[in-house]
Order: sequence, then structure tokens, then C-alpha cells
Amino acid sequence: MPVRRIPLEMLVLVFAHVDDLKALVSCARTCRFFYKAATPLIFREIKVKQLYKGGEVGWYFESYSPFATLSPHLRVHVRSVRHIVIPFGFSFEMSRATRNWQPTGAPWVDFISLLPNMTSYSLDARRIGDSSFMAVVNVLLQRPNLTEVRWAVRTIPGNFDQAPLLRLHRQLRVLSITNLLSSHVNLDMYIENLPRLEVLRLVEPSPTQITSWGNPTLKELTCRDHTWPAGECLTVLQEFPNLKRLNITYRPKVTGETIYTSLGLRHLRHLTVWYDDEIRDRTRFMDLKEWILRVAPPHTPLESLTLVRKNLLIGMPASRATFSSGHFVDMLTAYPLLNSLEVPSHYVLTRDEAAAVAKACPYLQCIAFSVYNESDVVGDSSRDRRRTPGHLTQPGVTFQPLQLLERNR
Amino acid sequence: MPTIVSVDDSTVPGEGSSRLLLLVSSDNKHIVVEEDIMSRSRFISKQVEGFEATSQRHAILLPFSSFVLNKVIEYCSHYRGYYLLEDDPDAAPPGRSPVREWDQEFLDVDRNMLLRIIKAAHYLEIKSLVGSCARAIADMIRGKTTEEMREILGVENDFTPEEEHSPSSKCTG
Repeated sequence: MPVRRIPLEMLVLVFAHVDDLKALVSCARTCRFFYKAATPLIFREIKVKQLYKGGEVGWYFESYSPFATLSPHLRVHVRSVRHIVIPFGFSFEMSRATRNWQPTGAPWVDFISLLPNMTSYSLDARRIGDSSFMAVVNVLLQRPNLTEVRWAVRTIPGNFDQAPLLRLHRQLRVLSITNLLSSHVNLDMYIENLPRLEVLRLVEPSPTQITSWGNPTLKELTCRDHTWPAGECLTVLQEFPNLKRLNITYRPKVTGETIYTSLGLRHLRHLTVWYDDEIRDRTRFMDLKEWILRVAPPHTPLESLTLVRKNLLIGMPASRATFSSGHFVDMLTAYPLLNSLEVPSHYVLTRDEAAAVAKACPYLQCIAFSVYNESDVVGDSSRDRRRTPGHLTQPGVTFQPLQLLERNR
Repeated sequence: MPTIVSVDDSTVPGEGSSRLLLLVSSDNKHIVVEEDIMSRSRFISKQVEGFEATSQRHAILLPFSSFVLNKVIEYCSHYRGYYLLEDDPDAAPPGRSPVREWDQEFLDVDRNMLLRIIKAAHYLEIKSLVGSCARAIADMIRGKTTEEMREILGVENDFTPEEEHSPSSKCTG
């Protein structure tokens, strides 16, 4: 049966599973029918790299077309733009040139306006001046179809009055902000009045920025490298009662802090907790355990739990005694729907404990954890399937994860 | 296009507790299958709803051969009673995932057959099977050059020499 006899939308579906751009391009060059199906996928997401050189803005595209030849019939396919601004060189002059960059009237503004179907915009700039940032926001405000905005910008202190105007974007569903550290930037101004916001990712938010940005529509929150102690963090989380996915840093409670009046997140399905290396004694672990149980109260439909220990000190592996395996297993019994568990290296379990975990969590399909080679611990066998979680990879440290408890279900 | 013809009730033993369907392939083979097995197909489900509305049961004419139809029935029988995310109209579309092990063996057929199955699955609106076939075909063409792809999929180059060397063509290549 000739391929040409299958419907076009089915061919598009087939090509959507080809994740290799070069293969897609080969598809497009095969015949006209394939060209029609593959082209929207090739131009669906484009990456624009903008290079500063001696105060001038140079352009090149990583996609298969330079801007000048991106013809109108191809522009309509662009859904997502990833805009990367790269300072060329590190001299003070270069830096200043970057800071003073004015995108208004620059080619990229024209470029953005020529993409009628763009729904996602991402800006990755190490340094960007206030006026440039405001120009970015102003351009975005003119895009009613926009549902996703991400920026990772190393800001220079200044006035970002325009940025909060993004809240006028009633359609915005995903907002990701990294390194927006200016203390006077109030996140309330960004987040309030975004009725459709579902995903919010913040890295290094300032504690003063959090006052009342509760959002019941939010389903996914990433809030890393904040400075809130345990109790304050719980208070913040109460603002988002319907979260399904949470990726957050845990900081121990401060002396005298009264905490744990939280109702918890009863709809949570995926929880990732990052904590510092300082939790080396059993009491601290118990605090962590209690905190987790407050964030996700017993019988929350939690499906995956990931604990990540940051700043691993080479040569100082935490001992098995620090985490109190009995309490750890006890904690897991609170989540009977758990099917994936990923824990740091010192959470080694004996086979009996692993069996107890498997019994407490009947849906558990995978326990992933790095272990130091000790006898009679899960993960010791070379026959075990191994996987090194990318975020745990540290130079000089060899992780030997993981034991998978495969179940014949 | 009407896909239903009226049949004598006696030919469709669907009145009892085990409800059966009569499927008629393009080569005029009559295949009786339990309704429950084919419930994965949204097309069939809609037809059955129509039967219930009119209180009449019909044979369902399908525009593909019995060989292909049997393959589809084999797939549906294997996953009978299973929940597959792809077939849930209310679930969010799943991300990219590898072809299931059983599906790999099931789809280990030649190109023509694979294309016939995906076309049938598309017609019957069985999303999980369409997705598995799509992934299987994508695996066939991943990493191949244009010439190799033409050979694998049996297509001819219908670009004019001008089109092949036009800037627009270079945009995609």
C-alpha cells in the first residue's frame, strides 16, 4: 500500500514521533506529500540566538532558515520561540553594550510580530537592561495567543515597572522566572490576576516577594533555592491548595518557630524535595519526615516521591543511621498509591526493609537510589538495573543506583 | 458515507447477555466479535450507541480487508479490559513513550501491513493502536537519509529540479 494513501493528519502523527530534526528534514525532502506533513513540525519550535559583538547585535538562527528567508508560509508554523541572548566576550564594554541593548525596532521585534501563531516565548539572557526588558514585555503584551512565557535573566538592578504588566495576559498558563532577584520586584504583581495560570516555576525568589499570591488554579509549582524555613514554607504552600506537582527546597525550621498548622496539599501527585547536606542526624531527619507529611498528608494520592540531597560532600557519605530507616518506611506507608520513589544514597534499605516498603506501597514499581557498596543492601548486585539520575551526578562521586522492584502485575 | 446495512436479527446473535457485533470487511467476510472487545474503538462505540437509540442491530461495514480486521481484533482482544491512557478521551495526551513490548511483536509486520493497520486504526478511532503504529513507523525512518527513506516507504521524488534547489527547500534541508 503506498504511503500516499494514508491521510495527511496520520502522516503528521507519525512524523510527530520522529524526534530527530535531521530525520524530519529528510522526510520533508522526500516528496511533496511528506513536505506538507513534516514542515509544520520542523518549524514548530525555533531557537534564535542573538550575539552581541562590539555593541552591535548580530543574528543567527539555529533553525534551518535564516530570518530573511523564512517565508510567510513557514512563519505560520512557528508555535514556540526560544530566544537566547549571548554576550560575546567578557569585557566591561561588552557588558555595557549588552545592557544598553534596545530591542525596540531591532529585527527580533519585527520577527516576533510576523509569527501569528506563536504561543510560547522563552528569553534566556545573562544580562539585560531595564529598557530592553520592558520592550520584551511590551511586545509580549501584544500577543493575545501567548500561553507560555519563560525567562531566565540575570537582572541588573533597575526599575521593572513594566514587567508586572504581564498579568494582563489573561491567557497565560505557564510562567517561569529564573534569577529575577531584584528585591523590589514584587512577585504579586506578576502572578495575581492570572486566572489561567497552571504552571509556575521560580528559582531564587526573595522572601519579601511572597505575600498573597495564592492561586487556586495552579497545578504545578517549582520553587527552588528560596530561604523560607519549614513553617513559613508551609504557609506559602497553603496558597496553592490544588497543586498536583511540587518541586521545592526544604529548609529546617528555625529555633522557636512554631509550625505545622498546614492543611497540606491533598491533591498532590508528584513531590520532589531538595534539602541540604546538613541533615545528618536523626532528629533532623525526623523534622524532614514530619514536614513532608505536612505538605502531603497521609493518603494524599502521591504517585512519585523524590528526595534530593544537595551539596554532597565527597568522602562524607551520610551514614545509614542518620535517616532512621524504620521511620522512613513508616512515612511511605502514608502513601499507598506511590509507584515511584527516588532517594539519596544513604537511604539504603536492607532487603527486609525494601520488602516492607513494597508491602506498604502495592503499586510501587521502582525504587531508585544510589548506594555505597555495602553487603546485603539493595542495589548491591551487579545484576540490578542501574540508572544515574542526572541531577545527582557530581564529579568525583560514583553512584551505583538502583534497585528496581519489578512487579508482575 | 453510510457504513451500516440492515441485517436479519437472526444473523446477529446480539440479543442475549453476551452482546455480539457483526463486522463485514471489504472482502465481504463476516466476523462476529464481542462488543466488549471492540469497545476500545470509538467508531464502533458510536455505532453501538446508534443501535441502542434505534433498538435495531446492524452489521457494520468496514472499508478494509478481513486480514487487517483480524489484526485489529487481535489487538483489541489482547488489551480487553485494560486501561490505556491514549484511549481515554478525558486524559491529557501522553508524552512520547516507547512502543509497548507486546505491541512491538504485534507490529513486526511488513511496511504495507503496518500502513494498513494504522489506516484501519485511524478509521476505527483506536488511538492507542494509531500511536503504536506511528511510533513503529517513526522508528523505521529515524536516522535515515532522504534516499533511504524513499526506498523504505516506497515513495517517489515528485519535486521539480527547481523546487529541490529553491531556498524554500533549503529551509527544510
